Amino acid sequence: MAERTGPGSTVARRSASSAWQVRAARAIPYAVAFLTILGGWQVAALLLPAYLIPSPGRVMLRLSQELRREAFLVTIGRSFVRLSIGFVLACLLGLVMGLVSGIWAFFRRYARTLVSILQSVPPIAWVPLFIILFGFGDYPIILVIIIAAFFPMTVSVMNAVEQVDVLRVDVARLLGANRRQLITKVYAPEVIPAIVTGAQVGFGNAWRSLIAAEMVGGVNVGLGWFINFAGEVADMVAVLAGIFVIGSCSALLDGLILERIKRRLLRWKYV
Amino acid sequence: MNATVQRVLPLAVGIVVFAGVTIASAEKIRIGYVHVFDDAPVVIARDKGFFASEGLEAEVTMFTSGPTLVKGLVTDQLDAGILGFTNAITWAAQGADLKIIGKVQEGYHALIVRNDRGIRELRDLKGKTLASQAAGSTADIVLKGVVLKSAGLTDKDVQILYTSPSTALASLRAGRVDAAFLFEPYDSIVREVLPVTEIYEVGKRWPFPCMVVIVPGKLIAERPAAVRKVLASLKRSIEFMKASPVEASRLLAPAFMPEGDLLAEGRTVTSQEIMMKSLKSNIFDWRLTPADLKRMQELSAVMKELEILKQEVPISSVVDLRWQNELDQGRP
Amino acid sequence: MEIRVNAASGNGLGKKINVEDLTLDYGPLRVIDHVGFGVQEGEFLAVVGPSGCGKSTLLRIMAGLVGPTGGRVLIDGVEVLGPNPRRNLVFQDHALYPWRTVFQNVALGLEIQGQSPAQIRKRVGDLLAAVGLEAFAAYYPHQLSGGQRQRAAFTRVLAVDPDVLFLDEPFGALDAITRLILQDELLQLWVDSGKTVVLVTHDVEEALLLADRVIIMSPLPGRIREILPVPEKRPRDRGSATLASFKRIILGILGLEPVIGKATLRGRDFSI
Repeated sequence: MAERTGPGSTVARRSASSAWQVRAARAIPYAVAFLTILGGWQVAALLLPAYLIPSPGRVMLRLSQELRREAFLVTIGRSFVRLSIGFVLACLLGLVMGLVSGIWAFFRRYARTLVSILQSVPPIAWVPLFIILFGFGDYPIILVIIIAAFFPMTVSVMNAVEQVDVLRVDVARLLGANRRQLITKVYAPEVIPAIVTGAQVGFGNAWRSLIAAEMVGGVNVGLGWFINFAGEVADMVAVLAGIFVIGSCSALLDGLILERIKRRLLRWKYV
Repeated sequence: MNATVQRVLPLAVGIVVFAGVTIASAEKIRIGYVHVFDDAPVVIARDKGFFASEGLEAEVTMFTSGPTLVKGLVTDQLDAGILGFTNAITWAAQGADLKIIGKVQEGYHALIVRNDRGIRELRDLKGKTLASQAAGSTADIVLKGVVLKSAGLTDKDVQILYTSPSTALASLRAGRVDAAFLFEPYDSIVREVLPVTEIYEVGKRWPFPCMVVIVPGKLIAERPAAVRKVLASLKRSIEFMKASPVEASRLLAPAFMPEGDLLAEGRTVTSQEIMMKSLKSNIFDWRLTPADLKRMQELSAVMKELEILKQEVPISSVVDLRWQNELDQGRP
Repeated sequence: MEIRVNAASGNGLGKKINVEDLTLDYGPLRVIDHVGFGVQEGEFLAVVGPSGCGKSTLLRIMAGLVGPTGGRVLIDGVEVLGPNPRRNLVFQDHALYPWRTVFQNVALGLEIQGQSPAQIRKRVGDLLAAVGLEAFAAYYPHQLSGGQRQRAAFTRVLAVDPDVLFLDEPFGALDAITRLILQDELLQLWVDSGKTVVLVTHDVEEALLLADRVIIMSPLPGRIREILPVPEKRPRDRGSATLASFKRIILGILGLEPVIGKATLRGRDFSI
């Protein structure tokens, strides 16, 4: 048989070179995107007066100062606490609702209707109402996060359960599985990829609504509150520093934590 | 052309030209105000036509807070604003070109507490919850730097919650907060619907100028006459409110009490009644006095203490009283 | 050409499985129409027919996954009311769980029964070794070939030691050569274990290679056209003339072959 010397062999040779190069190549688009934003910012800072758009340099300097202040770290910490509690509860609630919907047709129709009605209200619109109902502080924020983050999770899980391969359910039934075992051995694992994607979408919602809710009111600590206050007193440097913290935290949390969890749960796909 | 037309035509043309000239001579100006009772003179000026009578074609925009409004002033989207004076200072400190050219109202903020929370004086606020206005606003600065300070408290001793006045009122009613820092008409409203006590009122203990007229340096440079017209319109508006409070109440009710009359404890309190009470509580005046300027300097120091300003701003650099003096001397 | 055939059991009163007057309707559509037959213990029965004749549905009813509209199925004299591991089914789609390794897939039934990890490890290990999959125990299904996956699916079912095996076109998705290999393995399994097997297939040659009797079904609605005994001794030669003749008979019954003659079987004439 004649030897093939086409693109195939070149690819073989390329993949033999370092995995390091591959990882670097994958990082380049991210770096370029980051630099584009930074560049745009610098240009805006040059064109507009400093009290409107301070330069990236000034903002970074201020950020390094703020990170050494206890008050700032406490404020960020509080935002994270709210996010963690709200997001975890949202995931659990979404998971339970999604699973039950998959098994019980009545609940599925009920949940679907509920979701479609409530979903039209932007989560932070609830804040003033929640402040009156539950008082000031963390509760309204956490509730808003739960509302914002649980919908994507429920829908994702609901769809996954509905699309569970009936054959796999039959296999389990034939092997003698009872209802509980069907849930734990067939439905739950079927649904894990959907949980992960639901969680990732939900995380974005949770993070955004956290900051927005903190800005709307009812709190006196938090990253959103920090930015809002700074904007009120003409401290644009702090505003941009806060925005930078938001952007980088979100990227880090998603990339480092969620992506890792996804890879671990879906190990079997990536083997 | 027949004879009638020949005689009528020049007259018609003359009328059109005259009307055109009159309309053209009305100056366009973009004015912003904060939708609170403190800025009532602006609403009156707009609705009673005082802007127009000074030859201004005013595009009046309402804002929910001073800090939001001032952003319009520094980005050349507004020509004049009526808002809390600290906003001029914070932005001037960053390098913006803003000037305070006159006053509209003196600060009135009452610290209202629920009777069932055991708060008798300011010191008892320690460990309690207090609903206040937008963080960083003039009211907020006065609360922290003057009111609480006078009782030896800081914002760490009291849990201050920042929210809109209507939410603050609802929270107070619902018992979610122990106290609220309110201005009119919320102050008058809450007294009708809830057993509360006023334990402190800023205007009485520490009078200070609250709402002022702020214009960007650009307006002063390009259209100094317009600056005078704005202040003159507001002067007339304030004088009208003093002379005819009943009619003023009638005009202000739909703006500041859109829900209509108040139902409390089985009796109805009309919105006009509330407006009358609010008018009485407040002091509206268009002149910044030397005492006012002194207060503003003191508050500048307070802002530095609260770490809102890096250093004090000399008030003389942000105040320009040329037009106020002109109007004061009675020049039309 | 005349074919003499023994008068083997061809109608009801089978000891192991009894299908009594089974009917299934999907709304107004009758899918299975008054089907009845019996299966002896240890018998290998094949069901053939074109698509849409309800043979897969018939199997699902017998396995207890679906309830009939009319009639009933008795296994060991007991009516079938739901699925039971002792009468298990292997599907055409291996339906292995992609998130479980081969080992874990095969262990599924034993897990459900609540056996201890040690017991499971031993039993699954033995089973995998028997089918030559022990090297792949830690692999995931997507890493295996089609034939290996189907072997794993079989092993999963065998792990719970059913005495009745229902097979729904188990080799339908495999390539021709793999199919032949697995047919031989299935035959060996049946010979060694003595299980009762009901095989549904569209492959007439497969049916003739493996079965003691072939039920021929016709569609719309699904009915039994004929039950044909295959008295050939095993192992059977795929290419033998006898098998070829049987095939012609069956295809003739199904109306799929041009008629070139006649055959008499058990006193009845068939066109072939």
